[in-house]
Amino acid sequence: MTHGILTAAKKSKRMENLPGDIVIDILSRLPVKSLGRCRCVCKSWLNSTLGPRFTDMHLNRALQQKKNPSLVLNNTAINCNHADEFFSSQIFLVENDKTGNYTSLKLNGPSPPSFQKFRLMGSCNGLLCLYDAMFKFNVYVCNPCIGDYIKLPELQSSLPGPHVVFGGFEFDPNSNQYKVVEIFYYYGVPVRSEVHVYSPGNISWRLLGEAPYLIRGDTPYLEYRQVASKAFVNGALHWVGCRTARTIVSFDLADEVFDVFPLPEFVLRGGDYTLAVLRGHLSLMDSSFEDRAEMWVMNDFGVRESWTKYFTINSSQVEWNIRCVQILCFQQNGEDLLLYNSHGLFSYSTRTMTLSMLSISGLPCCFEGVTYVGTLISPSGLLRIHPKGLGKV
Amino acid sequence: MSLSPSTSKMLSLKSSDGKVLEVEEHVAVLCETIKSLVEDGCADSPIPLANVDGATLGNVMEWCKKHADQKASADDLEDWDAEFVERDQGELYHLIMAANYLNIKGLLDLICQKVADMIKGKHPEKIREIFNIENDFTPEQQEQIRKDNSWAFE
Repeated sequence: MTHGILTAAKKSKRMENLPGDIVIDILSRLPVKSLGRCRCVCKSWLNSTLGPRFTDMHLNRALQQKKNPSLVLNNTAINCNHADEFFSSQIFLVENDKTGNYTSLKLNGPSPPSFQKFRLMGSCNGLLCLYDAMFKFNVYVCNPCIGDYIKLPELQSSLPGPHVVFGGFEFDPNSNQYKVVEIFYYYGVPVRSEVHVYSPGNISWRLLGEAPYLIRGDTPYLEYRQVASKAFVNGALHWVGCRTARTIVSFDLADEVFDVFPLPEFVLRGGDYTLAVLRGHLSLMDSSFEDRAEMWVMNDFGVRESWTKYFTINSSQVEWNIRCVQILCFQQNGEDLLLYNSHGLFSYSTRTMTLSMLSISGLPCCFEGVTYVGTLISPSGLLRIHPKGLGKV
Repeated sequence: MSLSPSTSKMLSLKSSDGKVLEVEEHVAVLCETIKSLVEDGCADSPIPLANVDGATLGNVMEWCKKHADQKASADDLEDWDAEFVERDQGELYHLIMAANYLNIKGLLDLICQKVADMIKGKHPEKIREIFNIENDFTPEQQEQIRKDNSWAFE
């Protein structure tokens, strides 16, 4: 009798007695890798986590938890010791636990074939857009967490080389499509350009014609140079042409039109400028100085006078020459910024104005980085489902 | 509705096992279910809560009391919550069911996140063991599903 009651009491607390919608709520909070394991627990957990509705729910939850951002780092080091692995691009997922500690994980999912020297063009909703640093027409969209990728159709450009390509990858909520944008420039006489757009699921790239504005980039020494947009704000991708540039060019993802506005007045020198988005504002890191890097924020979008200096990092504050710093994002506490340069990952406290290097084991010695949110979105699934049929994200 | 703690009246809540709990109204209305009853003037005394046992109701009201305290800082609440969820699975299960029934989004979020944290990083066998879940896959299905999700085991 007593035994029967105990069994009933034990049974009543079983997780499988939770209502289905609560189980889904719990599972939607898990990182992608844990979800893959949960699918192997039982049939109901498997069925709960398949399908576009759960994928969207998980994505939305992950986007809400932006307070605790993850990063993807791509190894850009050249491996001189191993000839057959001379180019050895590798994706690392860097995550931050609740206590503020960072861990790094090398992702070994299937990588695109014969595509070892790739670079990051963009990161959006768990998808990475990668391009081949050697062969410019090879572009991939991959989800490194689930090891799924697609190769985009080959892009046909009629421009003579060498090329500078201003590229970007983002989601356009208006058309419910991911879009890859590539603007080819040939800096000959006359300067020529071509704008190409591709959405996974389309048969080929669309040629939009010439870019109405000239982005003055460096003439590449090699056949090819890519400038990936790091700033998606107000529904538009933004680029600054390097060194000799005097403008910021934007491309509205929904309307597919360009706009241009001058760089802030303080940008007088030729040098390294990189764009970022901080708390929804277009921001610019000026690394053109010998002894410092300056961070500027455009408080009112499109108003040149609203550029405000946010902070300066002096080389004297750190033990090395601070150059070519790139902004990633604010950390969990909302006052420390994550940055990186060729030395590693840094945390800059906007409160104490100090910079410290983050010690994370297993990082490559040389890398490029983007903020990342792990999702279940499958690139090959984007090909199968007509974009209009996707759930709203 | 805004009720300041000093003028807040008391509500009686009656659990499924017949225990009656006196709770300040501004605390109890963190439960959306109770709030609707109060707003509609249907708050009988005591309010019968047929799906919540006395021990769980006590825990729920302890959480509501802390979260109704306007002097508590966000950091303070976070630390307090972290301690609050340190319970055995049975208590967590009853808290989830109660938070769902009483419609307390903050508490439901907290406990669901706690359970998610218990699952995070564990292998399927361990998850089944912890939550007493039956493996209802056939060996063939098991093999296929492990293959389909091999990326999760690297």
